[in-house]
Amino acid sequence: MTKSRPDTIADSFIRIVEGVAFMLPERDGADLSCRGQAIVATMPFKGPVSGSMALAAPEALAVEIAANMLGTESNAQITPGKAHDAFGELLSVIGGNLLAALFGNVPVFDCAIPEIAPMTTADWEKLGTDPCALLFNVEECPVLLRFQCNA
Amino acid sequence: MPFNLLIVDDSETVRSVISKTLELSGLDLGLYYAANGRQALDVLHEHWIDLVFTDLNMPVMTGMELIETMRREAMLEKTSVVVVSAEGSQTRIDDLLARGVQACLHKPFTPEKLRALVEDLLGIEHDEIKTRYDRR
Repeated sequence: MTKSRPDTIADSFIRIVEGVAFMLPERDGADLSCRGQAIVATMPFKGPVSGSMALAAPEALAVEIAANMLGTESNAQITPGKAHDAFGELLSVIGGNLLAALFGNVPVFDCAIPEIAPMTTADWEKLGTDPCALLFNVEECPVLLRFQCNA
Repeated sequence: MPFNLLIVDDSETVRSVISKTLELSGLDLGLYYAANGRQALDVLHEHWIDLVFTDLNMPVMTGMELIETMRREAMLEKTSVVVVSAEGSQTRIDDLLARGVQACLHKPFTPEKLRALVEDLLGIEHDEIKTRYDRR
């Protein structure tokens, strides 16, 4: 049976976050309310289909992700710059794998370098209600992944 | 004498992950770093590098531009190159291999896969690695 697009996106996201950041995302039990500053990584892509991907999370979770990826003993060693770099790299890996999962291994896509930006509360709520966004629970924090194709 | 390996990626995270993985593997390697293709060429012109690990998507000079430049330079055309990428297109991978890239390492990768690839491309025998590791 063919998977739905949201299921394919979720499966890729869960597999990559497990493999790269050593965390286990869940789709059930996710709560959109975000405590503290959130950041978003965005990455446009071009190919037979063009569009963009966005990954958003509380900055505190981005620090934990970076610490896990870098294998550091303490989060105190993770500067905002390192957290943002690791978060962008995570989106880059998710993006490459997700495009292959959705469209197969024949088409060639060009992904832009991920850009990181802080989010306002309004930005977070807007992304959270975007029909192209999926909400995950990662280490008791909300994470949003949006995959959007241009018409 | 150690082999010299150049890690080219605009992400400090990726450079660090590859570097730590190789350090923990016990391989006797000299590691060099560059954040884009231009910086990589500077390193390649100044040092003898046995193996280049490069990302594709980088500012200033991309990995593809780096590979094309290396293949045009007599001193660098035989240097082994591995592309480290989340690229999922077999079409692009085939194109990279046709351009003289030795291998593509798909992200995410395991430490075992990275080590096996380095051993294979540098022609290091497993016993030799074990001996070097035991000496530490």
